[in-house]
Amino acid sequence: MSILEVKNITYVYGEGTPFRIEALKNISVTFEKGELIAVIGHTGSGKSTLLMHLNGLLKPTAGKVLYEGKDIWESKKSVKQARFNVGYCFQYPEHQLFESSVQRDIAFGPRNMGLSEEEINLRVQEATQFAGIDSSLLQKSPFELSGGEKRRVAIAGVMAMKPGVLILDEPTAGLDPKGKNAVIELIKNYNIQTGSTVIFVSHNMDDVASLADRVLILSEGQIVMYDTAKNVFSRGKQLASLALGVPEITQLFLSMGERGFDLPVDIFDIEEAKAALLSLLRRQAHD
Amino acid sequence: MIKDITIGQFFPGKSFIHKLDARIKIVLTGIILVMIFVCGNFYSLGLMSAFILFSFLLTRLSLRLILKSFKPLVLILVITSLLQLYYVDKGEILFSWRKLSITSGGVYMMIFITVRILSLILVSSLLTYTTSPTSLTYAIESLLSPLKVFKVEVHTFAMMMTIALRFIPTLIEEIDRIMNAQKARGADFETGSLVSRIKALFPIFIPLFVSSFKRAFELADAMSCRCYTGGKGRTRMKQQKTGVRDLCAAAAVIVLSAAVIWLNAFFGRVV
Ligand SMILES: Nc1ncnc2c1ncn2[C@@H]1O[C@H](COP(=O)(O)OP(=O)(O)OP(=O)(O)O)[C@@H](O)[C@H]1O
Ligand SMILES: [Mg+2]
Repeated sequence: MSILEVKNITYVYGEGTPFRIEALKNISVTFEKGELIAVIGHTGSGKSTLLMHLNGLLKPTAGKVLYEGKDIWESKKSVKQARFNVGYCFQYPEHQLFESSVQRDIAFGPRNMGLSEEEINLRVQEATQFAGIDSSLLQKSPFELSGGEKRRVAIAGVMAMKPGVLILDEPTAGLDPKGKNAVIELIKNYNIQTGSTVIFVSHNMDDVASLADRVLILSEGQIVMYDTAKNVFSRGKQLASLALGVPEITQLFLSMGERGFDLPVDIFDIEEAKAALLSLLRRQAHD
Repeated sequence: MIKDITIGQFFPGKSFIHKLDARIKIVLTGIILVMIFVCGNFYSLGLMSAFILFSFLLTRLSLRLILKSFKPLVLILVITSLLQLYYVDKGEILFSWRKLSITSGGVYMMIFITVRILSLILVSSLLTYTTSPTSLTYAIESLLSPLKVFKVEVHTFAMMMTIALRFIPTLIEEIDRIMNAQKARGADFETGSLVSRIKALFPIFIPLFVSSFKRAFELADAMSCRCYTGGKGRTRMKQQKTGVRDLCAAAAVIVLSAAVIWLNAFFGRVV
């Protein structure tokens, strides 16, 4: 069942100025309920612009965004509701945090939803625990935190609203490997435990491979591919022509293929890779 | 919406007016502002506004900018001219309704005041449109430098002004960012009563102050890293020189002032 539908949207920055940029060109796409979707594309391809349309932060110049079949721009109320239904984590956590303490920042969304004080506290507690934020940080100013801590607080602030769709714009950028894995686990768990749709942007193909059910590729404001991760990564050459890479494992299999080994090209999972390599060894032992 | 605010905007160009020494420009603008108030009848005021319009044409800026500079003050203009119309009770009665009556004197006054205010606005925007903020502050620093005798920190003052001007667009961007962050989590700036909408704006200003202080400290650090120690021994990359051009402009304004005073005396003051 589809939860979010984007219909023929076009978005223009700086209309009527010499700096006019058409960031999205007549895009249509449907996001299914419960899926984990990765959005990839080179810098400036329009990823952030597209995602900001999904919760009504940007209003399309032309076209519609439907949440569960209803146009989110139908009325002022429906836009506000869309902001709760579709949680958006900004590309830079500095752009999202503004409250005087971490606790208040996480509570900001639930408070706007008009929940009771009790429920708000509960949500804050749940979200901090889920995002793995140390409770000693709760009374600190969000600006005194490290980059990784800020990122977690920003994600927790959105998760506390329990949105039906969670959007994360480059959630792993600028994190150390440990922090990165933690955030990836966090995203995966949220998707599994709440059954929510998760859409995220990443430049790291290994993250994409380990998380995504589906991959959406943007280039110059247009969709070039929207398919399962397997199908997308089996087209390594086309990805390269879009200035994108493939996961390291796929890269390894592609290079081995070029050197004459008979291996499949659509592998990006360590278990599958092991199986494929073992079967190759077995076949060679036979000959 | 918030990005449409323009304060003291500068439009680069190569015209006669652009090339004038900013110090001379400030002084001459000051003289013209005073002379606009000296104008006592339509002849002198007409001459004055013709001169200002002519200077504007010299800048070769789009005439639409004139309208743009008037826009923020339309309300004040309308109110003052209506007040004139109502209060001035001179000349013959043109129209009356109950206790209200409009006299020909009132109409004259209304036109006079409107032209005066428009000239005031135009001549001051002429200064900001054609002078870059840096040369403007340098000019102020240089004009105020006699105050150094009284131990006034003229350079610090000018530097403060430069920084303040430079950061206006940054602050506007910052407001935009905070509003977006709050909107994304359901803050409501668009629905509800006027009071509740104004209330929704307050939570923007606190983070704005916090981030401004943070930015100020960072800027101070960046400046000390580049060995900024205040005005002593500092030189300028772009030196301003007063030349023939400036003398011509000054002469024109002096002749204009003399003409205004003569016209006032010859035709008598109406106001
Ligand atoms: N606020 C803005 N004003 C004007 N142009 C913008 C603005 N934001 C983005 N753009 C332009 O729109 C295009 C798409 O930008 P967008 O931020 O969506 O790219 P992106 O795919 O998210 O890139 P990145 O991977 O670097 O985050 C770019 O060409 C960018 O220059
Ligand atoms: Mg982006």
